[in-house]
Parts: sequence; structure tokens; C-alpha cells
Amino acid sequence: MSVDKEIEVRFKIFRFNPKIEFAPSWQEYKVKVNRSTTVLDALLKIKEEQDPTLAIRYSCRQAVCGSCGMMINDKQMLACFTRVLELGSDVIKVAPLKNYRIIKDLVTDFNELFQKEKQVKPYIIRHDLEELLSPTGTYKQTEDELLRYIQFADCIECGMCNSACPVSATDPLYLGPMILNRAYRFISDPRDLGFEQRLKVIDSEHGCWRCHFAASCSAVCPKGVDPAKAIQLLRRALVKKAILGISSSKKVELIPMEHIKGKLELPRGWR
Amino acid sequence: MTIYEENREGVSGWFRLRRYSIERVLYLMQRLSGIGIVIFAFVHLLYTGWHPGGWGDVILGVLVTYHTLNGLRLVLTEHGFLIGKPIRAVYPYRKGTLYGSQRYLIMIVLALFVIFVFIWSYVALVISTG
Repeated sequence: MSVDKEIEVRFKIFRFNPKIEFAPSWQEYKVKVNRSTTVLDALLKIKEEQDPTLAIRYSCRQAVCGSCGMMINDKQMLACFTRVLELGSDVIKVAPLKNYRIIKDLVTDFNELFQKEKQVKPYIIRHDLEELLSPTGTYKQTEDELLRYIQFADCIECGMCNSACPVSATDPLYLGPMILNRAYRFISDPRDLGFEQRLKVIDSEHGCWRCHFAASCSAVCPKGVDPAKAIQLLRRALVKKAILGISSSKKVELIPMEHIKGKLELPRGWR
Repeated sequence: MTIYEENREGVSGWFRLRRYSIERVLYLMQRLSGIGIVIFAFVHLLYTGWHPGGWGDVILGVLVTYHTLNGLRLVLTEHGFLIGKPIRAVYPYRKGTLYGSQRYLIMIVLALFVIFVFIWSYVALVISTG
């Protein structure tokens, strides 16, 4: 099939404005697509040519920003990363991600998700403030140590794993695969010393013990992150801590580097 | 916030199996068999020692065998065994939880399940009825 050959495909799109409507409805559009048209391209075409009231959120168009996650034919997919003809169906059903509050049409509210993320402190925690402010060297990290977390660091926070999770479907307070993956990414980082600080949130009723290993999060992840693995390894770390008393926070060696110069100033009122 | 605005799947989310991996099916069956066992245990305790008998026993056997074997699989995987080590995510992605030893473990569990159910059914239908 040549790239230029166009086929008409029917799009069934979820329409709902919670501010003025009581219940959602489905609207149909016909769009001509070719081999390279992605679902996002088709949605933008609809917005430009047929219905400017359609609301979509997107940014990078190349599966890096994680803004355009939506339910495409009932599965969580990135609209920019899915070609229309690849789906192999005449009718393409597009709906907003499940388990998130709808703002309008295909746009969902991630505010709650990011609030939960803040609780697990998604940053490297260290106690050597002097060294951070005026660095004298670099923290040693071997290839093996890097491999412990690099897969989980690839997360683009598209939130599709939380949407696919059957536990998130019934428990609104459950942290969800995205956030637990985020927590494990920092816990398994050898430079991080914040394992104990994150325990309170992770080791709770709505924390990592709520996962039932349906592995749907890993099945939908567009970046190969495997959040299900992160959650199981997180549990392993917690069991290790509880039974053997081994903390996942490790001491990392500092390699002095004389050519590092410069000093950071903390904003006034800190410390 | 209305129920439509919240857009939460609820219990119907358990039954959304299409397009996900086999682990999701196993998860649903684990939940349903668990609920079944709880209902049985309740009646079993209420009328001391009651059990359905005949084909009812076979169904009970299916529930208990599945729940036990899959439970053992979960004990292993949920403590980080057989799901592979973290790797670099290089396309085409191979996720340790959906590939390799975890999948072999599922095959073993399902094979054992079939064998145990056959034995249990034979005992329930042939031996115990004489």
C-alpha cells in the first residue's frame, strides 16, 4: 500500500462536558487516513476540519511527554504512538483514560495523581548538604548499580498504568503503579538515602501491599518501564527491611574531583 | 462530582480482560475463587461440616485448587522472584513480568491445576460415592 492511499475510517469519540452536561455521549466522525496517520493526527484533523469544540491534550507528538494517553478501542494507548490502520478496525473508539476525573471530552485531570506522587518524595534525598552546595567530587556508580533503577527512570508519567490497574479501579486512595514505580526508582538509586522517609506512605493500607499482580500496568506501558516489577521489588525491599533489618539506602562512595569548582547558594531563609 | 465525571471503572474493571495480559485473567479468577471459598466456608461453618457433594464437590475442588496454586505463584512473584532483574528498556521492550520465567511458572501452575482437579474429581465422583 502506498503511503498516499487514503482510507475512510469512522471515529467514535467520547464527548462530555461535566460543567453543563449530566451524562456523556458518543459522537461519530469520518476521517480519511493513510498509512502514517496516527490517532492524534486524526483527532487534530477532526478538530481542525469538522468540530473545533473537541478537547484533546497533547504536546510532543513523539511519545515523550505522556500527555495524550487515552482509551483507544478500550485499551490505554498513547494517541501519538498508535497508527490508525495498525489497529485493524473500521471503527476507532476513543475515550478519556479511565479512573481519572474528566475535565472535558478526552482531557483528564491528573492533579490527584501528582498530589499522591508528592507524598513519596520523587527526588534524591541526601543528608550531606555541605557537599551538595559546594561539590568536591562525584558519587561513584557502577554499571550494575545503574541497571538497578534505569528501567524505572524511563517513566514519562502518562498515567496509563494507573488507568489500567484493576485495583485503582476500585480504590481511589491506592497510590497506583506509576507512583510506586516512581518511589522504587529513587529507593533503588544508590545515591538516595530516603528509604525510611518514604516508608510511611508506601508501607500502608493503600500502598504497595494493595497490588494484586494483574500486571496490566506493564502490559500497557508504552516505554517498557515494567511498573509491576518495580512494585514487587519494592515489596521485596520492605520485607528485607522488616525481617532482616536491611535498609535499601546505601552508602555511596565519593570520588574527589579537583577540577570541580563553584558553590551554590541557598535562597535566603533556607537551612 | 457525578459518577460520569469521576469515570472510575469500579468492579466492572476486574472483568475488562480483553487486550491485557493473561495475568489479568488469573487475577480475576483468583478473586472470584476467593469469594466462592469464603461463601462455602461460611455455609460450611454454619451447618457444621456441610459440603455440596457430587458435582458441587468438583466445583469446590476447582476453586480451592486454583486459589492455592495461583496463590503460591503470587507468593513467589510478589516477593520479587522469577520476574527478572531490571534491565535497560530497549525497544522492542521485554518486560520481565510478562515474559520468561514468570510465564513458565504460569504454565506449571495451570498444568498442576488440571492434574489436581482431575484427581479431586475422581475422588469426589467415583471413590466417595462408591
